[in-house]
Amino acid sequence: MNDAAQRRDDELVVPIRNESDLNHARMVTRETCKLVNVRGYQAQKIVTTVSELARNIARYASGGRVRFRVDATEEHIIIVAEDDGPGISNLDEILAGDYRSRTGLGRGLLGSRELADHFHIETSAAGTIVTTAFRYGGRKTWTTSTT
Amino acid sequence: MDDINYVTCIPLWDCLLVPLHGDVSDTHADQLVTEVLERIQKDESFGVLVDLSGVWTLDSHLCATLARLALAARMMGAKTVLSGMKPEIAMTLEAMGIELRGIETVATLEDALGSMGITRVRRGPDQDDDLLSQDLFGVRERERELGGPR
Repeated sequence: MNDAAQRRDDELVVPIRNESDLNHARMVTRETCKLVNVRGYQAQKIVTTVSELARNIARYASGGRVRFRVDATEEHIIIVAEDDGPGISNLDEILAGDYRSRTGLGRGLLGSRELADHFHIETSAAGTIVTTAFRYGGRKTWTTSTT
Repeated sequence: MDDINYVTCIPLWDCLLVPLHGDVSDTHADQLVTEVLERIQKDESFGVLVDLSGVWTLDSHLCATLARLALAARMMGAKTVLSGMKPEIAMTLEAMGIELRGIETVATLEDALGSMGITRVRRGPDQDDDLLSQDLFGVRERERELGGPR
């Protein structure tokens, strides 16, 4: 997947190739939070989610990216983590909390779902896309779904 | 080892003080385990105080690393205590369902020292070290009971 071709005008894309890119992704997340005055626990939830999703890309996929976008109308920070990996074969088991990982994949995804106000995951042999949204201000939450 | 991943281990009597700061990278976390375990053996430490008050984010990987460190340190006869976790980090870990099993966690570094049996004794302005030692071991009290030094 080509980053430039898929990139929207209103989003920031951080490529994730290995674990050294995680610090950059976390830094961009903090700056995004500052942009809309999100601090404290809410900011911590967002940074931790990005850390978990970016690590999954670095460890289990051949590469990928994290996209950041602020929807000022709906008052949401939208974060999409997508990779070109082989997909997650045991996704249902992971999201049901039945998977005990020694490497951390299950815990990171499950934790991200708990932290996000909206969580949607699509996985196939062509890759995995995790869409999360975090509200700021006083808007209502979205729902959580899996494909 | 580059500067970013340098692990600070401060010997504190028979303990090791390990302050963590900022974004702890995965590489730094892995080096932390190796370095601390080597220092436990070299310095014959019986306690490891990991202070998290400067840490920006604690995710599942860093928690797993700290748990691994605590377990390995325990096998070497050293107790690990975490201190200084920020409220927002504690709330995030709780929301994620992450438990730091087997690791003692306290609010402040002072509490961590207390957990290792290290407590503060305030010295009065007129006390020198010898008199303080005598007070600590009850020598002066016994001398007072007996009517003065002999």
